[in-house]
Amino acid sequence: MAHTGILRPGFIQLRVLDMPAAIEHYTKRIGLHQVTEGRDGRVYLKSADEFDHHSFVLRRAESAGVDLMAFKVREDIDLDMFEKRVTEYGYAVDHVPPGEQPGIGRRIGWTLASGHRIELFHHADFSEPMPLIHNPDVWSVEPHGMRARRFDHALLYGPNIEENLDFFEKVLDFKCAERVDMENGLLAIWLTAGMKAHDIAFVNHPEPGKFHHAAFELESWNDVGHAADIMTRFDISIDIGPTRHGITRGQTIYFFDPSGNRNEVFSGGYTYYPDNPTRTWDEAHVGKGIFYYERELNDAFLSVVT
Amino acid sequence: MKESGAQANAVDRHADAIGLAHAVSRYTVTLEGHGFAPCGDAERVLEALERAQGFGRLKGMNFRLPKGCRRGGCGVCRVRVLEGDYRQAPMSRSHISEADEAEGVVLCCSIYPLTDLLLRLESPKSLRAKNAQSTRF
Ligand code: FES
Ligand SMILES: [Fe+2]
Repeated sequence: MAHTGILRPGFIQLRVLDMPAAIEHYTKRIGLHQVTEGRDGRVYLKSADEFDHHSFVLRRAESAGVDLMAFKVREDIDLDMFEKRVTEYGYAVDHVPPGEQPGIGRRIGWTLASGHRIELFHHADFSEPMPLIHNPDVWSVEPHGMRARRFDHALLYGPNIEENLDFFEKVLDFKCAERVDMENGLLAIWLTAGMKAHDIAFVNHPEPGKFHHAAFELESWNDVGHAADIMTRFDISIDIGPTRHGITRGQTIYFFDPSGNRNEVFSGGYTYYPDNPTRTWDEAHVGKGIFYYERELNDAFLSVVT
Repeated sequence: MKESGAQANAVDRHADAIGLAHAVSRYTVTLEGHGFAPCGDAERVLEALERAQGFGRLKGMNFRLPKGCRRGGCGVCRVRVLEGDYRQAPMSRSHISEADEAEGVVLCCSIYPLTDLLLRLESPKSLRAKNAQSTRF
């Protein structure tokens, strides 16, 4: 089997200021389903097109932003292998017991040089709704809202992304699909564990641990248009779009949840094979790389984060 | 005088649920030194100011109003309320401390007027400095 080690993003945990407003946004508007609410009040969400227990976790807090992002590994023993490698790289690894999140097995976690917490897990229960398996119709429950098919990736902001790049390539076996180099150094990296153009991305930023966006994959450019209609009808705050990224080629909208956390919905993007070269962008063309039609960054791209 | 965010949101949700633009009271939000914007009682002050700036009604500003999340998370829209009452939606504590709140320093995307308001941009220089600092080129 070609795909071993880290398979894909498993889930992300975001902090929200107003839980009822967040649930309404992510379920009714984005189109996720609420799987369960934990005893500590965290709310667990998924797309009906995902098998695993949940892919999106909301935690009520006094400030918005990201708590952690977790990746799923193929075998349970991969957790021991990665623990050894992460520790050898020099990061302190801690253990999260099974059930700390409902439906999820044991996890290991550590903090990146950019200040973000990353976790790995292997076991996830299946939960309803999920795709049909025998004689499968295209969906089991009718898609609603923006019809998000999965939590796809996140873009995180923090310092020392040169070290993040080295760490993800050497320790976690990710590949760098694209990068932006400014005259004064590395600005951004798009990293993949599989065949998507990215599973996680970083932009260099002075403050550690910041969150730029979490993205949901949609089926088509038509669904991106439908998502834009929903945003206007329900007065969702839009950052930019519909437009396209030159980087990854995704057709996209950036917008905000009711706590100011940026979301993205997108469709498309190229297939990345691990033997592909890294695509590179320079300072003169970064505008086109980020927003392909506008061909310039908007004010918010580099400065508005939670 | 501030209502809680939960109350504010309940009001919004109720108005939305019954499909009514509820009887709108309009107030005047004055940005010290730059002019004023009409603002409905169910309207985020930042959005009223953005609209006024779009119509060219805010004078003598050599910068654009900070454009951020408009939902109380990112902190780019800090202002000081010098006069007037408002209700507020939740705001991130990373950007508005309890001391700020007590002094009337708020995120103007997350307040709704209850009376006419007089606002001062909380040190636009520091906002620009903040942007310049995170914009690395
Ligand atoms: S614009 Fe983000 S907090 Fe007001
Ligand atoms: Fe993205």
